[in-house]
Amino acid sequence: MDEVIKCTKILPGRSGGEVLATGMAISFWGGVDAADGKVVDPRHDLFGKSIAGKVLAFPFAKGSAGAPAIILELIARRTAPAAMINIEAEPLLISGPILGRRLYEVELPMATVSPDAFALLQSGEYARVDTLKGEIRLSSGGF
Amino acid sequence: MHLTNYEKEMLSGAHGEAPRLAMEILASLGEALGVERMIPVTQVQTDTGFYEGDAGLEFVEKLADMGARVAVPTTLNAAAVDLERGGAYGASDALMKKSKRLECAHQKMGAIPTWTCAPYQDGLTPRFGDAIAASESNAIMYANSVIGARTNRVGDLMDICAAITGRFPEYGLYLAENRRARIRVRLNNFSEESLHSSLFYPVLGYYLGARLGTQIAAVEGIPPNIGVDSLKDLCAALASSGPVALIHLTGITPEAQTSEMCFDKRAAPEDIAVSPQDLAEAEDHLRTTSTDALDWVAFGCPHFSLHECVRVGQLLNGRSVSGNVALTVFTSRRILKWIEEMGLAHELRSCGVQFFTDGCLLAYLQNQSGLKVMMSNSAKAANYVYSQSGCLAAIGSLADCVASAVAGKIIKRRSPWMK
Repeated sequence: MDEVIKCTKILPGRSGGEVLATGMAISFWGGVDAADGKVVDPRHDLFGKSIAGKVLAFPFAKGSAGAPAIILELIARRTAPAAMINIEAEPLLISGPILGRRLYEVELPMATVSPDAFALLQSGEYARVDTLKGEIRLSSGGF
Repeated sequence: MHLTNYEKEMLSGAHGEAPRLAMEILASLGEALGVERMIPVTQVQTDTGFYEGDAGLEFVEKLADMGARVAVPTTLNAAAVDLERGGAYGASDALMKKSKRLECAHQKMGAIPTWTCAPYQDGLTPRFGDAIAASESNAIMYANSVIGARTNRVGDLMDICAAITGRFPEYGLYLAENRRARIRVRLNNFSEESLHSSLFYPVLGYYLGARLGTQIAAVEGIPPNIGVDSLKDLCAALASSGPVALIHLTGITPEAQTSEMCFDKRAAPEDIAVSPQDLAEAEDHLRTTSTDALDWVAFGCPHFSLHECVRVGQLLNGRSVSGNVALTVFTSRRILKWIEEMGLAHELRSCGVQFFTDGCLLAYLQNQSGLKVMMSNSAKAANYVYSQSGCLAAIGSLADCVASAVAGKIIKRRSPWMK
């Protein structure tokens, strides 16, 4: 039985993929390699893992304002996450997908969830994100 | 969004293709955030001169080719290279070419070639209460917290859109009600010696950035006479370890001349205390090397001020940098020009100090091979060289760093909060 989590739309869209979840904030500039989407910060619990094609769940973004350029680069190189789920929506973080949509016509849906719902997002599960409906559908067996 | 007639004209293309594209992007951001209107900005710091990838470069060139012109004074953040000393900086020909293309595109648009992450020490300082759009994390923090200008953390590429339109969606820290502190930070049991130690400020900033998360706080107990370089170090470290863009420093921040001024009146502030033990742990966390081996002393993250260059000259006092260590200073073209006029640059170069302008200390590291252990007075640098490049780091005061550069190994006096 699929589990459905309510989410609040930040950027519209539908997508899905394997969940990659962390309780740590992410700094995209300097923290993620745009070439392969891998997290390069050795202190980060996603170190060495690729965010490409994932439903990426992290509480909020931190660090440099270079994030939109990195996210745009990830989008241009097809190494961007499929969707991003946060507890707090950072306008800075939204900027990257907005540019991606306008310049590359790529949809990268974003949504926020409550801290309780956030805890339900576990790496390795599969999630279908529909921010227009306000739903994240989780399934451990894939789709 | 409610747009003014002029903003609607931009959106319709009446003022050209570039303002149309830039306004479309800003309006999408505003719509996504549920923002009611645009705010006119008086100054922009754009990060788009820093080569991050072809996607950003192509966007900037597209705008320049459309005939884009900046609508307000626009300073350029640091570049990914030293545009004049690419070889010594270690930049590849490809990176130099792409950075030069960015330089050319920004020149066409009329941006000021400051090439610095610290425009506030180059004379391009906004006024108290000004709405600006800044996109380098330390410059954002400094503008909000030290000057009392208003800026959000404006993302890369959104910054150049703000420069072309002179507008940004009015949300977040542009609104007085969002600038209030909800947390009161007390500095407990710190000696006068601690509070007047230059290393106190970057370490405190690093600690607070991680502790505060997204919350705005007011810090009580910082002596009002500490220098701008310490404020710069505090702001830079805070913005490197956390997502906040404003901190009230009671008695220093214009909006927090008294502690009553800056708190959110709707609820009693949450109190948190910072102890010497907390700072000791933060300092330990920043030190990622366990031996005294050293090959790089790095200054200028954020870009070194003129006074910091003077201090290095005083501390070196004619002694040479050890042969096994590189001592590099990253600063702006304007500050280098000043210290060249003073004769100081010549004096320091003859002691073995290397100067770079435009570029960023962190980007320099990514162009070098063989730099394994860095020492700096900057917590931001110590944090990022490790997290971004795996380079080990030690932090120390300017005096510690200069002593280490001369000795060729890490020399670090025990901080007064380390008991």
